[in-house]
Amino acid sequence: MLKLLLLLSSLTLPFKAHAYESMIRHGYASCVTCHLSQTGAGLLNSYGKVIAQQFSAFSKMEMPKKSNFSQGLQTRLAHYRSNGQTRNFPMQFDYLAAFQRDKFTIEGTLAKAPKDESNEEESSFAEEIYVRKALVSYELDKENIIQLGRDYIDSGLNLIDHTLFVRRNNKRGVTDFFTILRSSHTLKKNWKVIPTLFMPSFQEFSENQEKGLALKVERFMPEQKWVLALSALGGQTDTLKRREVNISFKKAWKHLVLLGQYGLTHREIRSDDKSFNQRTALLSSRLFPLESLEVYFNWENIDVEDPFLTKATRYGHGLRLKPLSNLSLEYDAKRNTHTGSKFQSIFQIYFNGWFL
Amino acid sequence: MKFILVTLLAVSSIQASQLRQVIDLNFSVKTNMAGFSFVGKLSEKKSIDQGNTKKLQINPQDLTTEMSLRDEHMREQIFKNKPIIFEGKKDCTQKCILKGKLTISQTTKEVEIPLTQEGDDLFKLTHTISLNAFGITKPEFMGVKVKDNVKVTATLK
Repeated sequence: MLKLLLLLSSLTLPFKAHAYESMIRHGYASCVTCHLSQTGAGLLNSYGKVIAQQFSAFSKMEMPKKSNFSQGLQTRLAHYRSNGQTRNFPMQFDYLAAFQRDKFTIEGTLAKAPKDESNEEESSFAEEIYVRKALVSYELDKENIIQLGRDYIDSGLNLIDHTLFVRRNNKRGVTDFFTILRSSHTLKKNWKVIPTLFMPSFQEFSENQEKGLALKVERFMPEQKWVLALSALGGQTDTLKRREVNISFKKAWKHLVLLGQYGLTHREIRSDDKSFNQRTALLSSRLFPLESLEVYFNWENIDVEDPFLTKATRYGHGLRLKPLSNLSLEYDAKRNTHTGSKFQSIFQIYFNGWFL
Repeated sequence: MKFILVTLLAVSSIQASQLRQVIDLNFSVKTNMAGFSFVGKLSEKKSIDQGNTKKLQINPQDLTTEMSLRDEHMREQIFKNKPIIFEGKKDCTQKCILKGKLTISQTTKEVEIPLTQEGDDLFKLTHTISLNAFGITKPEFMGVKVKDNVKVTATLK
């Protein structure tokens, strides 16, 4: 289980580990005000760096230098306990860089995979390095952007932990990185439309190489502190066809944020014309007694029909403390009621170090 | 600015109905960034001075967007740390246009604000203030720029 967790978390996910849903409490309903990336996460822009200082416990306010080039490190050290097993390991080690010039932005993320304890063969350093993101964006104007390269598909809330939970049950060995052609259109009244054409990353097994179309529509209501989103996806591999719909919401009050997501996926097995549905759900409440402290409670559910009959419900709670603008500490514990497992707990130290 | 308008409205109502207090005052600000706008409020109820002219004064420190850095910038860049003052003379009953002088950032403008009575002793106002009209340069910070129009709503008693 630990091996699977490591592989999934390190190789198949976009690592939107710091989805600062908390920011919607202050009117930041979308990510682009603070992040260089259109889909959020990763490197902060100058404005975002100041805001990060504002919401940490001990950081001093300093104005960042303006530069066309940004780079940083995102690392996670984890202390993991499950069923009597204890292990300390580096869960993530990413190098991020972005270059902006006129209307172009080039983003890249290089990641190092955690060492697989069960693999006795020594792998070279180069074999452990992979490209998590390589994306070129062109700004047609302030409201319309085109992107080409490697990235994940923007769908639902993009919460890493929930994605892990779902993938653990249905998508082993498949990466979530695609070769994409994506555009982003901001319309009047705070509507945003993001159509995506996706192809395989060619890091997948050949039978899992998927191509298709995805669409996300978001409605931001920053003054009311609401975000609503509808995502749809249609894709196919040599063995499967899938159609997926996700609806999600974020709602914030002064010290509380509620998040919810419901997903329905229909899959057809191409070889024998069988089909089955999968339903997933997430509810999360996040309390902010202090700006730098977050306490959260999650409920997640997955229900997959025959022949992959799977039912799982997971409860979790956690605590995140942000002492410095580029450092946060997080404790996270979960229990899966269907497998009858004991609480799995994981203590993680995140480091987001921005250079320049 | 919105605050000032609100204040003006409040003052008129007060004259007409012997109203003496601003119960709440909220303002919303849009920016050039999609999906980012914010709201602010008066942090405490404000009494209206009942002299020959009805006067309402709000100090920038009484206004908050619940984010300290943003509040700091708002007080310095928009209000220049000077009070917002509304002075009104016109009587007003039930539904009317409140007339008076609104001072923001040391610039005074004649304003007219519609006021609507709701309930026996409550008056509501909604008004939009142009920062530009008061000679205020739209605040900009690290590429994020406030839009010119600020919407103000208030309840007076």
